[in-house]
Amino acid sequence: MRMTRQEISFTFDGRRVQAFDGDTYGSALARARVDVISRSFKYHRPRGLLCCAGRCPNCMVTVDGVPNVRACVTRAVDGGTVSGQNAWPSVRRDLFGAFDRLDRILPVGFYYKTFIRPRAAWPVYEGVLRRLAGLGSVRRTPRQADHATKRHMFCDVAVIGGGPGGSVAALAASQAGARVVLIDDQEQLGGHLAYSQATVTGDDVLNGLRGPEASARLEKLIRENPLIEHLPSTSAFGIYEGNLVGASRGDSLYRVRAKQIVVATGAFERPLLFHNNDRPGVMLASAILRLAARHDVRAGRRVAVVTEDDHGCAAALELASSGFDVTALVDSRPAASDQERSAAVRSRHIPVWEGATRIEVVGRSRVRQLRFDSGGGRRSVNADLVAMAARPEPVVSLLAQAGAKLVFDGSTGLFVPAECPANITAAGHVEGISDIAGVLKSARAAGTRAALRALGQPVATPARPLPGAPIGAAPPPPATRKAFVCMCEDVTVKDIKLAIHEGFDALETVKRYSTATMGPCQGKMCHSLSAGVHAGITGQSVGKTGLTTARPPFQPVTLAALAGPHLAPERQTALHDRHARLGARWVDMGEWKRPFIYTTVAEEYRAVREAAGIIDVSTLGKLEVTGRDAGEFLDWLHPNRFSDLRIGRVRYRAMTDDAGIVLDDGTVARLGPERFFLTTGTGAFDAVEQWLQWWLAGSRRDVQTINVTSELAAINLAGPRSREVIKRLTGADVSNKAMPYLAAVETEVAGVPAIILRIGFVGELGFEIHVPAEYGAHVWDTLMDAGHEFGIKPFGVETQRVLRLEKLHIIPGQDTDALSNPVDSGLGWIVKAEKSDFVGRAGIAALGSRSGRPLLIGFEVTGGGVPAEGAAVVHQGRPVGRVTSCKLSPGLQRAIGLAWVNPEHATEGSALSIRLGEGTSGTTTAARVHLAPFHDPEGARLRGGG
Amino acid sequence: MTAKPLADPVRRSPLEAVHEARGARWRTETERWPANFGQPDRERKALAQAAVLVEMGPLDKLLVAGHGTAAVLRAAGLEVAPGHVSPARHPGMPEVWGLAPDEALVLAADDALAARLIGPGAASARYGSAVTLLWLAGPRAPEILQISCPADTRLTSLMDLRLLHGPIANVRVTMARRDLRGTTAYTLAVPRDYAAYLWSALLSIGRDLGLVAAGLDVFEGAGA
Repeated sequence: MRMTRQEISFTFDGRRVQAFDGDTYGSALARARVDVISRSFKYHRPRGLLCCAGRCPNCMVTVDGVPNVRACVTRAVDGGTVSGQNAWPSVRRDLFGAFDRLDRILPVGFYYKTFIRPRAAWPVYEGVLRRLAGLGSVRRTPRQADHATKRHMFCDVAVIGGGPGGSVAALAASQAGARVVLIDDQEQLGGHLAYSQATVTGDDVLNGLRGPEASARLEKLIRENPLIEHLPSTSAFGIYEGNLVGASRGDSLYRVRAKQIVVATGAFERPLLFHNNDRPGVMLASAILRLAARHDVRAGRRVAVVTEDDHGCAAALELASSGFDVTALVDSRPAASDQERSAAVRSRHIPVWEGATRIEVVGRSRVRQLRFDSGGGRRSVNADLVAMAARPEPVVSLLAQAGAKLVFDGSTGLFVPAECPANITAAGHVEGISDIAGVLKSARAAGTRAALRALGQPVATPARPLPGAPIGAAPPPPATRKAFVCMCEDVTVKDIKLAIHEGFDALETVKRYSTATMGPCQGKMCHSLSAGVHAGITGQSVGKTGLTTARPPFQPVTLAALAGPHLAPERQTALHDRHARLGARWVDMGEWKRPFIYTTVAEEYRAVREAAGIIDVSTLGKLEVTGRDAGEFLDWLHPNRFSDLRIGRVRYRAMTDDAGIVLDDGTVARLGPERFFLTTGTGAFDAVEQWLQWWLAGSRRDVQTINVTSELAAINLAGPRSREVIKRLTGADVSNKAMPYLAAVETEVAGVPAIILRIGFVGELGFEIHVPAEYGAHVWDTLMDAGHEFGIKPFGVETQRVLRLEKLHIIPGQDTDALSNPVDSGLGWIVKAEKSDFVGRAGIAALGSRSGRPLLIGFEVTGGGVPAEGAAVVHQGRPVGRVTSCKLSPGLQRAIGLAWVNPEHATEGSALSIRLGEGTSGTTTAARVHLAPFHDPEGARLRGGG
Repeated sequence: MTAKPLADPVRRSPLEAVHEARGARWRTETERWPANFGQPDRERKALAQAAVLVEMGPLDKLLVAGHGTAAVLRAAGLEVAPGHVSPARHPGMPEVWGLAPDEALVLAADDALAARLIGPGAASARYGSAVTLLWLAGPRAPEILQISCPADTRLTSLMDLRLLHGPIANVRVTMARRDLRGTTAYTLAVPRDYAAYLWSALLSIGRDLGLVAAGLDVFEGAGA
């Protein structure tokens, strides 16, 4: 990392920490000798840096109020506030650290056994447990995720992993002409090359370069390549159907769709099992080297290397070359298999202890000593760092998620991909290749292959060598109380033994019972480790034990990233601004914003009943249905008839499905011989349009439908003086003779082309005016001006609901449900049984054979109160129906409504009891069945004579 | 008897109130579309260096639908392939968008043309109000679409004079790539009712990329 050495500072648990620009919080804390950065999940054990690559849970802190931030990969910001988590009063001195001594009474699954009685107390237990065990605290105050972004990317090849393999694969793919998105969870490309002292061989571009030089070369080549888009510090967390890669960086989400995906997630060291393997100062060897190379930070001075394979020799040599005092190489094998390298270690005067057992770290908040048995005696090595150097394991989780078949390679003891889906290619270390030349060769071939496939050229998949023969039973794990398998969930070897002893003997059930691999690292540190421990305890081979199922997310993703910015579509009518100026209170109806009320229901009600009112009904769905067969088509779709509708007339419509269930209602106006204008309810438009299209598809009818919902604003002008108002704005003759009830006229209103329908949902003389939406506000303004002297007022949806209830006009969806047919809903009059056929005919015809069907009736409350919609209608304490709509009528001074009741209660004047409260304990009020409209039952006002 | 209108009709953009709040300078008082927002230089600069969002209009439009769509268009001297934009061949001729095999949107259509676009198996309806056209243009416009639209809007995928139907900020939109004099530009056709929401959503999404609300002066200055 290029360090400018500019000094910055932040606070950690109140203590000021100096850092350099370019530091991560983790590197700065290590430089400042802050050893304890977090406390463990269950036992509150002190934890320090472990992986320094953003994979383990050990450095999770709260940064500026955001919990669970990984300090090791998060750039330090001047003035930042960092605090430890899951500890009180601080991570350095945590009173709950006492739990560490209680591990004997807190075994795996203890809360399943301990806190089951009394059952009612579980919520209390749960609250306490959740407070004591856990991660950071989410802010109590909700915050908008406005800063969160979602980006949709498309490419020929997506490469996951920016180590040497991924970088070379991306370059190779671009050289073949593919557009590449390169996703890497590290800030800099090159992976382990950045801190490796080895010289690269076997690649034309990188040959002869030392690790850091090769890393810089890759970075430059990729930066200058216009076909590659590099997403640094971005974690791919899942591969989904349709070649979708989910990736995130902070609160930003990337959805990358690629024709081909190259998985070059590399290989990574895992912890080793020994007593106190989680103490601060016990780190992965790669982490110590990474800190030193990238941040010039020595996490300690004297390093003891613990290993169980030849990787330990390489790590000891690298550490020595990097200036560390390597005090011992402690190998659990009887003898190193790579004697040449072992000799090289000895030649550096590093003591090598082979056949080590009972390895133990001494020191509580910092490593002081490493003890072990070797050479027939107990040994002690002084060290302030313990480097765990295990053979890096392929990071196969994303491949497994994507459907790759994994096999256990007995010769290396690693799970490797044996077969990948057609759109996925594994490259580099993840294939189980360990030498850099092999990695680069594999990656170059994989990148080229993926690119050619993405560009449509057939490429054969090379045959993969068979993995080595399976090895025998895994060795038993160390018998110690505090050897941690899963650092995230504080699961020890002892816990897994107990789980298996209790019968959870399959790896998947052990996982669920112990929660091993289910923490924030999602198994990165413990996936194969837990499989190895399980195999060792059950006496099986690791290959036979297998791995648990890999599922996304591979890396934690913030909820803000998943939610993204708040993008909830909202529909506004052309008159929205007018309503806002009039002080409307809004109601959401689907995506629509509609004026709920402007002043009071009583005031608006009086205007409509006594003078004139206007309401915005632009949200009605509107369709033009044209063509030679349009009339016949509408006949087919409805129980009533439209082919005989005269031009210039409008008719009520109610549409049913195949079973005769009411779907929607509205009107149909005939505007020409082959031209109909159809309106639907506000919420039903999409369904109605699809219904029409469905029946039209392949029908050979000459019918065209055009959705004009957004094209037309619609205003309903209603009230006894409405004719006087509209008369001032149109040249059309609006007298009752020329424009009677149910007339449909195309004319001009306020100088604007308009369709006027003489209908009245609210039961008054009414004119439904449809005009181009761009002129909607003009027509509204003009109507308000013209109606001023007649007392015109706007009315909202709430008043409209009261007015229509007085006429007992139903609203499908509110007053009907998925079982309501037109006959029982009071719409039997529209069913024309003499029609030859129509959608729903059979269903309606079958009704005659079913008795006892509930009926929709009107009612008035005689006992006071306003029952809620959905309230139960009861008879002798038993439910006999339910209320669908109920409002207080300002005109009648009592509540009225609609309800479904059993037929024996549906006769005029029948007494009903309706519940006022919720549930069965509420009081009831008296009501009476009222089958005729409450207002203008003869319809004289609606017809508007005179 | 002909009643005299109380006032001359005023044609209003669905974004009138939004534009007003932003300080719009109106093109005319009877057609309320903004010429600019008081800082024309800033708007021009944004077009050159980042991106602008302009509400196009007023513009008469026709929707032609039915299996006879291609035939009635041909009879009127127009032609368009589905998924393509057919630009105006000469002044007075409309631009046509092939929305689907049996659906086309005709921009800048007059009544005479409307009457000609009806025939066997095809119908047309005025669509001037139904669809609001937003012009998203500038070097960073593609990035804004990448953020807001899950469809493949890369320059190599959505090429000039091509159409794409897809959601932007969760609203279904038809996008037409219409580059002007080397400026990457898209015309977004959105149902009028969603226009205010989409306008605000795009400006919010594009804020960090330098997206600026602009008036028709910028659009016309770009060679439209």
